Amino acid sequence: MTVKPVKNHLISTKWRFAIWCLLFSSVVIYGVNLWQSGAKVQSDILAMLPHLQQDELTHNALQQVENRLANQVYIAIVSSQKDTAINAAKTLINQLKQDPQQAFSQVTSASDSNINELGKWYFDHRFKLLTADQQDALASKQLDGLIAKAQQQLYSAFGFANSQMINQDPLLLFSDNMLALTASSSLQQEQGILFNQQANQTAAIVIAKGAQSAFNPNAQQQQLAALNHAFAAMAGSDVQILKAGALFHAQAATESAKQEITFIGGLSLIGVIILVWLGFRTLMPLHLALLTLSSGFVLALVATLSLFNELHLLTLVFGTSLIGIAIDYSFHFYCEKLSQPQHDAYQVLDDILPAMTLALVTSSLAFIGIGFTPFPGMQQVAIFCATGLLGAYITLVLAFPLLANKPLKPSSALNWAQYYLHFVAKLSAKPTINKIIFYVIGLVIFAGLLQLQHNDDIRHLQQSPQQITDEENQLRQWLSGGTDNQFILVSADTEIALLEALHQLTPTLAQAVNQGELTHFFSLASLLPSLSQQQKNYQLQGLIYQQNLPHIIDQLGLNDDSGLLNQSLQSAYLQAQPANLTPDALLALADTALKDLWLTPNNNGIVGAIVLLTGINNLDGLTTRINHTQLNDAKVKLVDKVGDISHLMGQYRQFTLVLLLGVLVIASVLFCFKYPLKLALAVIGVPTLAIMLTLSSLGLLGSPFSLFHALALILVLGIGIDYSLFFAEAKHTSTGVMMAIFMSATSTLLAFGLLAFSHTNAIHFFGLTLLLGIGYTFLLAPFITLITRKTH
Amino acid sequence: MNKPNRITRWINTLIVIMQCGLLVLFLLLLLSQFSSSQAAEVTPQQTTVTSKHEALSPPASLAIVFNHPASEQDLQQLANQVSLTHENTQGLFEQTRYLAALKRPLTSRGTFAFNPNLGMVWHQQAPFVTTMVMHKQQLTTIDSKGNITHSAAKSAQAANPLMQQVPELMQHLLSGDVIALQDDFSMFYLASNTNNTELWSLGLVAKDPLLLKALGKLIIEGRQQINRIVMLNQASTQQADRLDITDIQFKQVNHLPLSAENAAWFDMLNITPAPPITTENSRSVTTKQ
Repeated sequence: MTVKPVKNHLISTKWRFAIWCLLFSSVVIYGVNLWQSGAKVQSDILAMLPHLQQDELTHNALQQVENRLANQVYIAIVSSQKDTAINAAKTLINQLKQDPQQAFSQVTSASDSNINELGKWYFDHRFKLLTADQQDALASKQLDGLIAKAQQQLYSAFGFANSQMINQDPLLLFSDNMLALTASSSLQQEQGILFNQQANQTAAIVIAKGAQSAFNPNAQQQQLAALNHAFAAMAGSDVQILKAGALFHAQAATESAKQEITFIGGLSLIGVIILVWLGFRTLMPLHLALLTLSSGFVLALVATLSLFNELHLLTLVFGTSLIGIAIDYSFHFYCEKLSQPQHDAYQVLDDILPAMTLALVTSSLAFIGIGFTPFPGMQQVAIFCATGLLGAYITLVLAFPLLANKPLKPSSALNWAQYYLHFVAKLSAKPTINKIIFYVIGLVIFAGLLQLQHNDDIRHLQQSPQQITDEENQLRQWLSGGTDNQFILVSADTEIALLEALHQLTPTLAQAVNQGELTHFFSLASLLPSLSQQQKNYQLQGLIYQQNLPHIIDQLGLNDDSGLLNQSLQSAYLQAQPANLTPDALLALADTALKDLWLTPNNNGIVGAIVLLTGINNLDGLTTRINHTQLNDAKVKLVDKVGDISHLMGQYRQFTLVLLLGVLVIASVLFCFKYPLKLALAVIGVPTLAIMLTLSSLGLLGSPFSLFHALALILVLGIGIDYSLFFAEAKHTSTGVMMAIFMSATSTLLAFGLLAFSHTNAIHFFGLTLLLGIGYTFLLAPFITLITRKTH
Repeated sequence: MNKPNRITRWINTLIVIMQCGLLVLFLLLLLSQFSSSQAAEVTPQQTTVTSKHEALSPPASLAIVFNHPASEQDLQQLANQVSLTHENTQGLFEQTRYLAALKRPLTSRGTFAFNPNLGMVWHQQAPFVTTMVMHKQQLTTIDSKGNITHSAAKSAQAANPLMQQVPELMQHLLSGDVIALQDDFSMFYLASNTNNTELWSLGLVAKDPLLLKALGKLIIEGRQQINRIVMLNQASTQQADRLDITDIQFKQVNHLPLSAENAAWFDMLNITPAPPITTENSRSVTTKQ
């Protein structure tokens, strides 16, 4: 690597600059071209989540469940007057439907399925339906009770017994069956509007399905505009509006990401300007630093876009941190120039290039390490930062010799650096202080590491503003319980076996409800008896239609002098024998929400059914219960995507720590060849100690260790090695290096450290770790001069 | 939210709709009777049905009212008469159902009581004993053997466009707003002036075909007070003229405090006075004593 600058001497500074200009203009042209051919900024938080490995059926099930909820906006209009709420909901629906941009493809309240058709379908299959009580009565051949019950219904003016009904169902068994098929809920419906009443308040519920993903920035804006416009139309009425949906989370995420880019980027830029002015008393280095940064940024942007065809908004947030490292190069250059005023830009470059190249390689290695994580977003960050650094490096090598040749005024900053190094030297000369520091560090590390805990739950990572979560919880109450993210997937080879399995599972889940593990569950079993049960029910009803029909007709006083009724009932019974209640027929009549619970056979011919769960209180208990459930000819499992991803995050956290260890080992081997053993160990020891201190500080701060902490540690290692390398490579004097390290550490802290103030937990963890890690590295790195002095 | 439940709720609705709908309609119509302050106190023990009234016209012949659409003026006049000043309404009922499919009509009788806060008791004494108590959104049936069945009218009501009409009807009737009923019903009115007291009948035909199918055509007949309700339902899909007829006559109606027996029914179900239109999460439960 050190051969390169010698070669470069052959090319004149002007030629170098020409090459640089050519290179970057072509990169810019390529980038513009990419942008016009449809590259986009992606702000979908979900795109950052890792891909899970699943079997096909589970994958389909997850997709169906996610599609149910995806892009849906739920709105509750709460008012003390029912009419007010319903009218406001009607206005809202009309407004949303009339939206010129058609932001929502579907705006509904009450469901669209045809109740009459469904009722008729069940009635047509009445010979296959019996309630448990009816089964008992027929099995024990106790017809009298059933006849008495029918008679009672006939007398009631408030019942539904009428001539049409008794002529087809003389014992009026159907009504009880319908009641048994019914689930409880407090939701009601009027004038096509779904609503719920609680404590004298009425909430009308409107569901709008976005035409495009809520995470698409344009669609997001359109949908919000449509909603706001519609809300404005309701402004006159005295209603409270509650809303929930991914849209509002996405909006909050986009807004906070935008704010943070402005805030963190702005603050770090201002900080860096002040820093440069204080250090060099001229803003000339800043111009060149900006050039380095912008060329690095452009290269990073184009490289990311060409590889991923989109730029994640989170990449940009992390990317602002690139400032911190890229600017190091120009700082290093200027500090060296300041301390060697007699050298021209060429010679300065020669002096620092070996350290710079090594630094580039190690930093890039660290970033590429981040790229090994399963997060598409983090892979982008890795590519973005690595290419950004390369861009900055190329600019330094090619453009600086021509542009930065102007001599600098002497600055007092070098003296401060000198003082600091003297202080370090003095400090280390006193063995008692050394010992004390040594023990304190040891104690801190020991105590901190003991305290360190880890948490891989991804719900912990993304936190929407409290207000949105509160509103969502309020809305959930009105919706009489929200569907949880977890669900149960039952799969079998045939639909018959699957339905049977769902019925087998029902008692298990009912027991789970009894034990408080969850509040409610819903499966198709509650709407369909199993095939064997249907056949049993049919046989039981033979007692009515084949053995006792004349008796029943007589007892009830049915008008059948001609015997036609007897005949028609018997033939209806016989004709009904082959037709069963099947899931397909039910789903054809039901609305889409129900259809999503049945998975069509996949390539292996396996069918699946989803059991929806509501209000899980004890996920572990439920998972154990489901795992211990054995079904005949069917498999059952609890699908918990959030849990699975969290588990995966845990695995990658460990993987990252191993990676960290690996990089450390490789770096020590490399440095052992280049430097004397003692120096090599020091170069590696500084970042290692910094990492240990960071870990223990995190433990003391009570920040649970996660993948994002681990990722930041890789950066700490990369930057830490940079710092110690600069010191180790400093040939003549360390003051220039000390100043450069001070400036770059400060700028890095300004850029990365500020991420600690992010509201997104993932970014906050990343920033906090870097803040600590870079801080410790900065304090520790100067001690390397003690070793270099002795060796030189 | 759990969408699939809605489906089952709609199914349920088909069944319970008539129970609730008719019950509520009854309450309202009874409630809106005019007072006869001299009415003798009637206790459930005094169940002898007196037939001092003039001969009633056969129920099917009442359908003639549907030839006479009500004018604004008719309704206004009726609305003026229907004023609500009474806490309680109780008395005797005699009901005959002529079901086309049955050889014989089904005749039953008993007592009823209504209180706007507590709900309604419909206590049939003959030919067998059975009691229905409707409170808030819950219908409780106690059969002759003492089996108690609760069914939540609310879950039936859920997501059903028809049942939602009923509370609205109630409001309109409570406020004597017969005019507002026109939104949902075609109104028919026929009055015949005999013996100084005007005998009138009001016909109600739901505009919504589904509601019409569930409720049938309704005829309310009254003189100084509502004394008869007739329901006409089509008995056969093929023959439009075959009808199921339910004919209910009210006797000895008074507005005194609830009798001990009627109050006991409410007490038994732990029903205490509360605003009638509050809701609760109720579910279908069947308990056996």
